Amino acid sequence: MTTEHRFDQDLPDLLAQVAQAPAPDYRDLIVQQTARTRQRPAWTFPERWLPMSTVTSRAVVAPRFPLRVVAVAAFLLIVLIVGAALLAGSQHRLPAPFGPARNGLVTYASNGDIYTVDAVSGRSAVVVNGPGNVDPRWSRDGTHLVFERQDVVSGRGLVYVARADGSDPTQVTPDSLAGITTYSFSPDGKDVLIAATANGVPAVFIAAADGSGIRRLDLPGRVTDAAWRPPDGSEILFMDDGADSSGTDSGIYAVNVRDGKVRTILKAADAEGRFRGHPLWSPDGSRISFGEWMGVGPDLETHVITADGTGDRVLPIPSNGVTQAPISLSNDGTRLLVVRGYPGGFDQSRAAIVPVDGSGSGFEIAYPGGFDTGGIFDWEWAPDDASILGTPVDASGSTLHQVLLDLGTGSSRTVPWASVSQPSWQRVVP
Amino acid sequence: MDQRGLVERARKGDHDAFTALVDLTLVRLDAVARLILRDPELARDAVQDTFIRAWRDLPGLRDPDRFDAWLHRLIVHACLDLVRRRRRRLVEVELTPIDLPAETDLAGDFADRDMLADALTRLDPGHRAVVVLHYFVGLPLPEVAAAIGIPLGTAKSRLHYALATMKVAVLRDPVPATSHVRKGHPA
Repeated sequence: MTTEHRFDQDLPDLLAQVAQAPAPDYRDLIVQQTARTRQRPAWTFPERWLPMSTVTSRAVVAPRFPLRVVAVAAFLLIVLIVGAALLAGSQHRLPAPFGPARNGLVTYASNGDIYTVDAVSGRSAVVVNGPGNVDPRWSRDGTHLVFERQDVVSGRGLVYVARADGSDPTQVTPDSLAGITTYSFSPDGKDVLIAATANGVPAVFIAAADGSGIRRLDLPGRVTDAAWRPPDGSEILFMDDGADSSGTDSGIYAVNVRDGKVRTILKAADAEGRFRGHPLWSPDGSRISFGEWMGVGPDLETHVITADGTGDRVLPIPSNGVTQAPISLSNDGTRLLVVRGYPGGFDQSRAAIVPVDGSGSGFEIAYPGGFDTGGIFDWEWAPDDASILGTPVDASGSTLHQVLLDLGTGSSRTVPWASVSQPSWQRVVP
Repeated sequence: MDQRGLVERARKGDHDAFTALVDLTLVRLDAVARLILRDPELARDAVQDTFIRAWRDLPGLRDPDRFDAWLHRLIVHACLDLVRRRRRRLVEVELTPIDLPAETDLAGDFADRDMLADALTRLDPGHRAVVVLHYFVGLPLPEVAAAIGIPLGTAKSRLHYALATMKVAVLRDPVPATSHVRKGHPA
């Protein structure tokens, strides 16, 4: 190897020599391990496996003030109320955390920078410079962003909260976390739910959005799909797949954020051969939709239940359809984006919008090459419910650029901005 | 039965078909993982993770002809995930003495191989993945980019940087031909 020319030519052979080794001796182990593992339908990619045990409540401090201080405080409070009343007309209002709203800006990450983009004009601007920033998400009122700043080498990350224009970035995780999979603002925007790994164990954290503290939710079992319950975030929904992390979720539970009490919404049904996944809260927190399937066969159904687990209803599917998986609920809570499968494989899968009340099988949206998705965080309804923004994957599972499903025309198109991060759309008061 | 047929059967839950796919691909994936990770134990973990994930998620593979590309993507991600999770610095692979045919067992070839092994350790796993998929597996760069999940331009720049780094290491720091077996140790 004496010249650069020979180096390039010889590289394949040299790599083959470096890679030479005795035949792997763990083939039988792989066969045994996979034989014990259950296959899953395509739409049930693992998103979060989050063991938790008790919710440690944040200490509530009840300071006592001397009477004179109370009087001064009361005076100041009156002044503040009057001031707030005077300013109310001049300040822009914030949207309610749930329900339809006006479309604001879309946020996305590209090459470590965070952008916001006007979905109509396609004009984008960097709001947070990199490196290492990924997957920004809006708060429910559209005033703040939460994002992860990853260390490129270790893969560990810190979670930051910033204003909508990227100013005042605040680190909300005191130490870096490994394997951060998702995060979301509480409905009031004061906290951020973070799914990550702690000391090698999957865990869920609630971090104060102002960076003032973080606590870990710790529930028994292996937990996935943690999500704030609308409209007030008083509970966090989660699923438990038992102990083997095989992806065969079944039970649906909710933990009270304040006292840590867990209630069972649907008991695990693995023993009966029934598995569930992708639970979604309705915007008013009164219902939950989820997918349910039996074993490996193409028999996936979308169910809707009340928040206490009663009133189970299966959403209808066309007679020639074989699967229907829930993906994302509209902001008004009346319609559900589903992935619908037909005979002929995944190339035949389609996006469909179905009424949540079960009154029909809805309508399908043209999507070339088969509609697939990596999970429930890859598609989000626009605040005005007129379109759906998504980050699809191709046949090999590689993430593709974002697309917009237009519910008015029933068509889809690639967006003008180059984003492969999870979609997040700012809510603005109508 | 050809590989496509095996994939289609395995996708429908036929574990025997999947076992046949393991037999067809294990040696290659093991080599890819060892080249990227430079650590045989980590490589073993990555390959096991890859096959478990492949079996579990196989019903989600829409195009059976993309099975190889899908496996390459899984193995690269398994390798890079392991590097992140372990939070350990990479160790150099322990090269097992190889029983090469006499006519190829030349000091010059050993020197070349060792120089390359040294040069590879100067790259981070992400760059090694590009080199391995392109030069060892033989994937064109667009497929390398898709497998790793990076833009084509990034794959090109990584390959350019990796080759430049390795050339500098190889051409400036020749390794004596007699030192062809290196012991693994924390870098």
